[in-house]
Amino acid sequence: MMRSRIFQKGLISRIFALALLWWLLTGGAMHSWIIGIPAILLGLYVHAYLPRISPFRFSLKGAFFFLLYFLKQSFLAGLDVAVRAFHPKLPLNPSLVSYHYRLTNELEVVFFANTISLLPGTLSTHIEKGCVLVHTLDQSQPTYDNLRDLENRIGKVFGEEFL
Amino acid sequence: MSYSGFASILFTGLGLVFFIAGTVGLLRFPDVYTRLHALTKADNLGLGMVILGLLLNTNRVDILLKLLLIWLVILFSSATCCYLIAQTGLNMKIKPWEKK
Repeated sequence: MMRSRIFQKGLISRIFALALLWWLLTGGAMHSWIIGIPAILLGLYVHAYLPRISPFRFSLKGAFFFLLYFLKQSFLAGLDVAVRAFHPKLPLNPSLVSYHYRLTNELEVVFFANTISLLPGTLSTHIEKGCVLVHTLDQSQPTYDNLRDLENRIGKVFGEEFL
Repeated sequence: MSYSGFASILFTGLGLVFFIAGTVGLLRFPDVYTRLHALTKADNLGLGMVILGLLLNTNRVDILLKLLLIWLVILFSSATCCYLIAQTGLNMKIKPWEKK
């Protein structure tokens, strides 16, 4: 019989992480652990059977700079779309742009696609054959350069350098 | 009123303005893709500001972490839902609206 996948490496840290989550959600109420402990066991079980992702590196420095960039861009994105929504003339000039990415790890690509949707004027709609199809609100924006910049920054978070 | 109380109300109020902007965009924008832009980005900023306003209102670490966790989980789910809706739109051959 195969040994259960639940007991793979890192079990203790997974239990700890899930317990911390439960403690946060419930404010540490003692009797809530009657539900919490079965919930943690269920979480461990679900985690064991989720698809594996290939290993990746992670740079704390890259992540810190990415967070600053992300907060600034989120602010600009919200402001931009709010102005367009309230503007009497509704200034929109959408288009679809296909962007060929260089990121290799599937986790990075998912991260990339999700971040695109939260940045100013861009929305990822489809990923296929090394390309992400991006819907843009304004054709006059330098979408290609913006996506390239974002991709480089994500590369730095996961320890990838592009030429 | 304390400064932090004032800042808390200011940020939460600003956040609500952006939530309203997202809804106005949802009603006014011409097609599913442009509406997704309005919802994801305006609501993301609105949520960020409401969370920031609430963070200023607490001095308990567990509530602070809980608010940050809520922010993170909503960011992930809104970006993922947005992608799924846009992809379904493309699969159903819904053509993006174009400026005439």
